[in-house]
Amino acid sequence: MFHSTQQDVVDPTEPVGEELLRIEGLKIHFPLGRRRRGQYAETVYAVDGVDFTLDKGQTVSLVGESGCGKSTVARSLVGLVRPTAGSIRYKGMDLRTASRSQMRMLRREVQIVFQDPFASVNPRMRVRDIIEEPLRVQGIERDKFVAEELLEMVGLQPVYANRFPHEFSGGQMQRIGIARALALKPRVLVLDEPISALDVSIQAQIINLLMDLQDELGLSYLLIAHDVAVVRAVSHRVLVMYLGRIVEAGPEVLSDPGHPYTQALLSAIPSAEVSSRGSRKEIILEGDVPSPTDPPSGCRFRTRCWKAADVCAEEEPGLLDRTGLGALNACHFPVRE
Amino acid sequence: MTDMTESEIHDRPQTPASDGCLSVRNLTTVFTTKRGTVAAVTDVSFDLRAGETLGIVGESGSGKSVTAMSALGLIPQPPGKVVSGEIWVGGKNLLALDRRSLRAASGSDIAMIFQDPMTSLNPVHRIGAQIAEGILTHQRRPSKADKEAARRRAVELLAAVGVPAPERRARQYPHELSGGMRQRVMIAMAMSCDPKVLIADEPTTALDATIQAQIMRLLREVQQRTNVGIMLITHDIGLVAQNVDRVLVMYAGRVVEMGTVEEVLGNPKHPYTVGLLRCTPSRLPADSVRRRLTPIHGLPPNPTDLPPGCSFAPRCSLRGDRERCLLEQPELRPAPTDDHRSACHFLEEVTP
Repeated sequence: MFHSTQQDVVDPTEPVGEELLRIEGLKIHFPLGRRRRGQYAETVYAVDGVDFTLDKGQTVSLVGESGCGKSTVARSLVGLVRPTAGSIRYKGMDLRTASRSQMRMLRREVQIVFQDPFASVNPRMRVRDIIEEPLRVQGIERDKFVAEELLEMVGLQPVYANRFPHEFSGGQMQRIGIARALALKPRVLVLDEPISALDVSIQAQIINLLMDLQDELGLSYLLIAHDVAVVRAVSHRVLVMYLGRIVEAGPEVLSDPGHPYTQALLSAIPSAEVSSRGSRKEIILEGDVPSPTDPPSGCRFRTRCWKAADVCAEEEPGLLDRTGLGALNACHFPVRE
Repeated sequence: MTDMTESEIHDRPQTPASDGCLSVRNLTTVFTTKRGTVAAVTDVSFDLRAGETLGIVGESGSGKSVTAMSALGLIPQPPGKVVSGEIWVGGKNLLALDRRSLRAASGSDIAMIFQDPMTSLNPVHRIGAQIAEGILTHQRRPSKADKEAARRRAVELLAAVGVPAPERRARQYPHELSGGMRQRVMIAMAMSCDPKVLIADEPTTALDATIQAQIMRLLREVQQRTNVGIMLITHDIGLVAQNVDRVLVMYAGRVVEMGTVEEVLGNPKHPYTVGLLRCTPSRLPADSVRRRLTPIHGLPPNPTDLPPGCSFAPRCSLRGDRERCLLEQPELRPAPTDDHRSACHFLEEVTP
């Protein structure tokens, strides 16, 4: 499955744990409506102050509900949206000040896999051309059988290279999307909901494929997902987002949540064990997520939080190690063990 | 395609169970396509009792939605056609009714909520008017007073499904509501004529986890209040485990396993159910980090070209090289009691 000639991206001299991505103070705002006297009517605060790092060979996951800003973060990493403020550094190189040649390198090394595998390919192109397109764009000389080798790497038959997208199922097409992302021998893959459009039995196949590829190629993943169980199974570190901010971060936050929002999110996922029925502590949040055009003052979760006190409206809680156990938590009243 | 003859179908028990508020018997629905006739649902039979929740689980294309749409007469004809079967609700066989009687029955006997509340609400009419419309449809020549009463009832229904400020919401349009609120409106609309059966087709798939929890709680409350029988169609094993009393597992248009939720999820007797449970990530222990999942290998079969024997045989880990699975269609049989049935030739060998 592994072809060293094609995909030799692991440099054995590099130490494991090398930092690849560093995101600091990332803000991405979208103005709404027409500009009048230099002012927009409204602004969507999609991402509003996010910090994290991604190390080599690691999987960092962003979880949260729709509108929390997780996909916007993903898109900013591959240059599909421009940050309003803050910095994104890849191997120490700041995306805002990078030269053209540095950006070319970045685009080779950081690739993205999208949620809907059919919407992200041209239906009139053959699989071979879809997979080879990144090489063509980058002006990289390509071997005759590069598409076949990449197809084998993602568990498909090499003869599929001559077929068209409509001849494939969703799971197969997602494998082709992954093959395309691997064509440039990237070091970081941004996975934006890579399995949520797929059936359960196929989801497991894709998750296992991604984990195998990570082990073989030493890839780093930024996984965007809303399926808490999948995230828990594959991540080294989890970031929980709510309304544009990270509310909790750590390796174990989905097993041992300390922030009320993480607790509510986990409680809302129905357990697949019948035996747990009725015995689980159930937290059902009232109301909807507030609009990201007008987020609440102080803690953004306070309008739905059962612990909220006056301080929550007045003071924004920072993302700190509040329990001394290594997990970062942005709550004035974190759960203490 | 069904491989049964007419006489075989009629040999089966025809009468609905006495305590069933919905009884489906030998339902077969086909679609005619350019590549031939496709059996979307083949020989499906089940009962739903009052106050009970029945879960129908399966992947896309397994026939779970077509089963529900057949019950409501919502199959587009052509290309679709219910070729055989009976659907009994409140002493009536819905499939034998003429259009007009079916229209009267839908809503008052059987109602449905859909996955995407935005596409099932009319964007240019106010919420209250849309709920009232459903009530007025069941009245012949409604008077002005009837219309006023329906409007008031709409507001009451909105309040009953937990919509805050129902008077104001009734005057709003669908786009002014969040996804969760829209699904509440759909539930209000479905319950407006006190149906005996509520079909919920993936009611929370388009919603976020915290909103899903709200909607499932609401459905439980509505059921306790009205004793409605709920048919919950979903692909989420977690929703099934926490919300339903009995389960039907479908694969390639057939029921492959049915029984109480404890039996089917706790002691599955069909290799497909076993595989489905194994690849459900939420069944991994909470502390498992970087654990490989156990996928079901291969792909679901092409419905235009189903294998002659068991549809799951090509993907089955239990089959080995046994010929029987490829040649002979397995029937649902007790596993080992009548309350738990599986359509596997070798169900005695299935281990969870």
